Amino acid sequence: MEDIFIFDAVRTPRGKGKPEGHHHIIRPVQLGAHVLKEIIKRQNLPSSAIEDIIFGCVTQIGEQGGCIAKAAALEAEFSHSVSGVTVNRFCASGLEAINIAAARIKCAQDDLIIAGGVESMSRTAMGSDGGALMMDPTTAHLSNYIPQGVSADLIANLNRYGRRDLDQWAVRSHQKAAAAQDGGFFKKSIVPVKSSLDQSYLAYDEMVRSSTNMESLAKLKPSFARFGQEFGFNQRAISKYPQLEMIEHFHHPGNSSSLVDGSSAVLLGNQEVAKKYGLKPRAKIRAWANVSTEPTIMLTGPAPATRKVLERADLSIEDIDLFEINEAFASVVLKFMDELQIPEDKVNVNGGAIALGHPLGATGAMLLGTALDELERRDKRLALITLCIGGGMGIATIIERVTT
Amino acid sequence: MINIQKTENNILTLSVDSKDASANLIDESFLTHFETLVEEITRDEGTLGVIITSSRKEFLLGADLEMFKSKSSPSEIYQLSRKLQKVLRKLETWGKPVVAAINGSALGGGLELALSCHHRIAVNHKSIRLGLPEVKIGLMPGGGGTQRLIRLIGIEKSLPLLLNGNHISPLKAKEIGIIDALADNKEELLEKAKAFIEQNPEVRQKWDKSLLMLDPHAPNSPKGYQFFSIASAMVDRDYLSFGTGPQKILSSVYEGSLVPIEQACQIEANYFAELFQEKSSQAMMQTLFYGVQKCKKKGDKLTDQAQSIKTIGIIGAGIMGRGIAQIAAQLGIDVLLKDQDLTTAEMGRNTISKSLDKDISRQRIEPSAKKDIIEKIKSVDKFEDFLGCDLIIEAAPENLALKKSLFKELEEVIAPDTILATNTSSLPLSITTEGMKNPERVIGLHFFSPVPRMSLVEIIKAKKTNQKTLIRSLKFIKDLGKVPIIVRDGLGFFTTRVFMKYITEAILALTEGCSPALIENAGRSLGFPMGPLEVGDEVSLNLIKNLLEEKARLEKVDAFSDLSEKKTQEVVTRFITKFERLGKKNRKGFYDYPTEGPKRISRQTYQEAEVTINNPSDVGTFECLKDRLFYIQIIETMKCYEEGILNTAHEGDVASIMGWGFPSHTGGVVSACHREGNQALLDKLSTLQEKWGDRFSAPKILKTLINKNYDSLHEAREILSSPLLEE
Repeated sequence: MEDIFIFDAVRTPRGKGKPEGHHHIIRPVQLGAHVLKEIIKRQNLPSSAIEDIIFGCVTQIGEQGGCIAKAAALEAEFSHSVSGVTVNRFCASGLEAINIAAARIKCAQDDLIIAGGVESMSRTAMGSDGGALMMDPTTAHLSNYIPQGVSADLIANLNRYGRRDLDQWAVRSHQKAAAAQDGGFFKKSIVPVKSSLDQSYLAYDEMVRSSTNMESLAKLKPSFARFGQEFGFNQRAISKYPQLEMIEHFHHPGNSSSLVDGSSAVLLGNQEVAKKYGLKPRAKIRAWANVSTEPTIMLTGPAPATRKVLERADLSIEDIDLFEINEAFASVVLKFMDELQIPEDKVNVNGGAIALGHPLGATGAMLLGTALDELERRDKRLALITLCIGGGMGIATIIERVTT
Repeated sequence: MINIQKTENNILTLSVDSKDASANLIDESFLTHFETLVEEITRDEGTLGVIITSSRKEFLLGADLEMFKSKSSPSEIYQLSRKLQKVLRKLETWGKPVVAAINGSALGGGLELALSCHHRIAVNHKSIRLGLPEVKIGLMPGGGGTQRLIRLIGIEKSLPLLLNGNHISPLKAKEIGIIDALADNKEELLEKAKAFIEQNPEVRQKWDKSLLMLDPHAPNSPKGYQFFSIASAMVDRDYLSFGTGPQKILSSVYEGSLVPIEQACQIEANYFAELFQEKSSQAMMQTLFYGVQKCKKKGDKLTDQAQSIKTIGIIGAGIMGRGIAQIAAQLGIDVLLKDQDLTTAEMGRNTISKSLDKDISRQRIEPSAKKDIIEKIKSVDKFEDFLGCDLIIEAAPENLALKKSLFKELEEVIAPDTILATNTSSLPLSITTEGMKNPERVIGLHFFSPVPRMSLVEIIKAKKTNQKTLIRSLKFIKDLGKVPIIVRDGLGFFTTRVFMKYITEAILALTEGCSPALIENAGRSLGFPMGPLEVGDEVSLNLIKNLLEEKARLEKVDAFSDLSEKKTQEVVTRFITKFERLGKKNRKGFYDYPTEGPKRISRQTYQEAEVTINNPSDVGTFECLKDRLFYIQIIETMKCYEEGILNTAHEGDVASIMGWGFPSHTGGVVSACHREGNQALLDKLSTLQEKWGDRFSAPKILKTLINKNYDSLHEAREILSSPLLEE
């Protein structure tokens, strides 16, 4: 079996996912094309060297619909020989794209692939593509569907994380992200994209606030109380977890991931193609795993996915130098660390999606790039990237630096 | 039968008239007749249009459930539903106007038929009811009703009607768009119908003009996605006791809204047939349709000849007394309301007046009716004022000594043929009437709170109550439109006795260390409207304590042999005396009731179980708790039959659902006994007995049923006690 090398990883900064956000006037296909152009430019590659583009994109509708990966390839003026495919594994789509690329390289069917993702949450509203999972009464009843925010609150209630615990994690996320920005730790991967002539490039992640503190977060109202209490979702949660008398709502915009716009691309290939184009491997993919768990609580997949991938890679928790877990909601991270007994100083060391934002389909590949940059900066060897996923799924990928 | 008349300008009037039946209903012969007529009508090009109306008081009250009895397979049920759908489709796509002239109530299939017409006019009268009540008896509309309603008035407005099954007045129906026009009487109704036909020679339903629904809540836009996501969660939360009907209705609406009407009808028919076959639907129909009817008709021959009650006296202007006064006055009965003094009685009368205002604002009664109702109620302060009463109902606080002395005092003053009724939920008449001269005229009339909304009345025939008293009281209850069950005397009678077990078993579990949240959720997840501790707070801890003390007195015991009663006695006594926790009425019981925000289980209650909030360790006991709370009621019910408290199975079924919210989908507590078969029940009970003690030992009557090869108490008349009403 082939080694799977990571040659490069780039991403746009994450722009605020609202009309006033820096990326709002940029079309999603443009965001996607941007990272494609940048990554081959940095590696001095002819686009025809790329065999396929695999993009994660969650809300594949309207201008994000109809296979945005191929559309982005054309917009990037890639050779017509380059194909594209778009995948949806909800929040893990970007990492899934990488894992699919890895599988195809490993079994020697493809030599060089760009995997990544794109999502403009300001232009294509989350959930606007519908889906039986949440709205078909038959499916929703059988799977006992509740919205993710209520699931996040459910995790907090079951594990007795209070508002304070969650807010504290959120504050640290901002502090770490701000420190990383100040230290220039993200610079290696960021490829700024210009939105209009009178605006400067957005060179950093727009949502990070170094000023965030417990007092400023305390002012925010819980986001999911109405969904839970009025619309019947708390009762659904309780029907699965009857030890709870009620569900208190703790998550708010400040301790949940923020909506952002962005794209990401990772260049993956084998030994042969590296030699052919003079590409320098930065890391290799050791193993990956998908799991699925109880769908109502929905967001507890990262721990079992981590256990599974560690077993596949024949590693233990202690072997991993850095963990990147998507901060969809603060309770997800706390639960992950508690369940696997992971020391906090190895987790999201440069902040997470609470501070930086979570551009759904693009996030997985962004996290991988961030982990790789940080392994290099710290001169460490192994990183594990994991995300919680709608429907109860979980995903994890382990990368290992190539130092020779 | 459908009569046809033709006007000079070629308008056909079809008048439904099921001569021999009790009401206009859709049965197979109706369907066949209707099919033939529609075939003929649509072939005749000279016809200008059709008016559908009825020759009877009601328009059409829906399907005759009897017609389904011979159908055993889902495809037969499906075909029957399709048969109605097809004939309605044929008529509505004919091209000529069809008008429903709704002269009386149109329910279920009757309203579905009206919905397929191009225009609906109804006589504007309060007595006329329009609705799709199928869901209440375990069914759903199967004649295209779900699909036409959403296309006519929109998904958002349709769902409450489809899911609650409540009926509405013609006025309300006009407001929400089900009815196009109102008429004052039948003549005007027919005139307007004719006028519509003359003015609209060619018509097409809007769902045939545009095949796809244009509805902001249809699941083809983000708004619709969210709407259905929420609707499905709300159905799971709010309609648990109705079984799977509400879910199937919602699915039918969701799926049907995405396809043209023709395919939408097929989807509806699929769900209808599937639902019809379910055990829960069969059980609900049995109890909530046939059972309720039987209760309502009990002793009809006797009560038809009995004298109506014209004047009643009520003692106690509390919530029960006021409720009874109100519904009696609404019926035109003269009511004399007495309390400790005239001021208190008058205050009660004012409260009734306010409650009527609420009914007016909710369109339950006409504003003009209020004055007549209030004038029927008079405040009095002396027993002597009751001299002309046919019936006196005491609704004093649940205190045996008080009730006893009241009756003794009354007996001396009132006329010899006046009936004396006690509105008690538990105190045996044999004790209340001790020492009375004429106990034969005393009866128990156990109304449920709130009286205007709760249909059930438990009539208690004490040993000495005579036939005349029983029949006249029964007539009174029927006149009020209530659903009567007749039971024998005994502590807690039937309803209180059985549902008290729900509470005592829960309190025992609490003392064993089960988390109160888990206990409450176990009850709710069975389909009870409230958790057992919540119910305990509602009825008040004092009532529970008094009842148990009374029981101890009757059984002449110092301590209960039944562990759940012993523990309950200890806990409620401690809650009352040590913590001043009396229940909902003083805002402190098993729950705390803050003036703002939702109630919460109190720390005291958690301490009683010695668990902390959200204790996850006892999740494994959840299923077990559900079994305990459920089967303890089943056992007590069987004991009631063993002791002859009840003597028909359907009365127990009806009373359990309407009285204490036993989950409808079971068909009631008696049907629930036999749900899995008697042998399976016996096995289940022996497992429970082994684990939880002798209170779960199988009642003798269960063994008798098995020995005598009866499937259920419903068919085991010979082993039940003698009838309470000799017909």
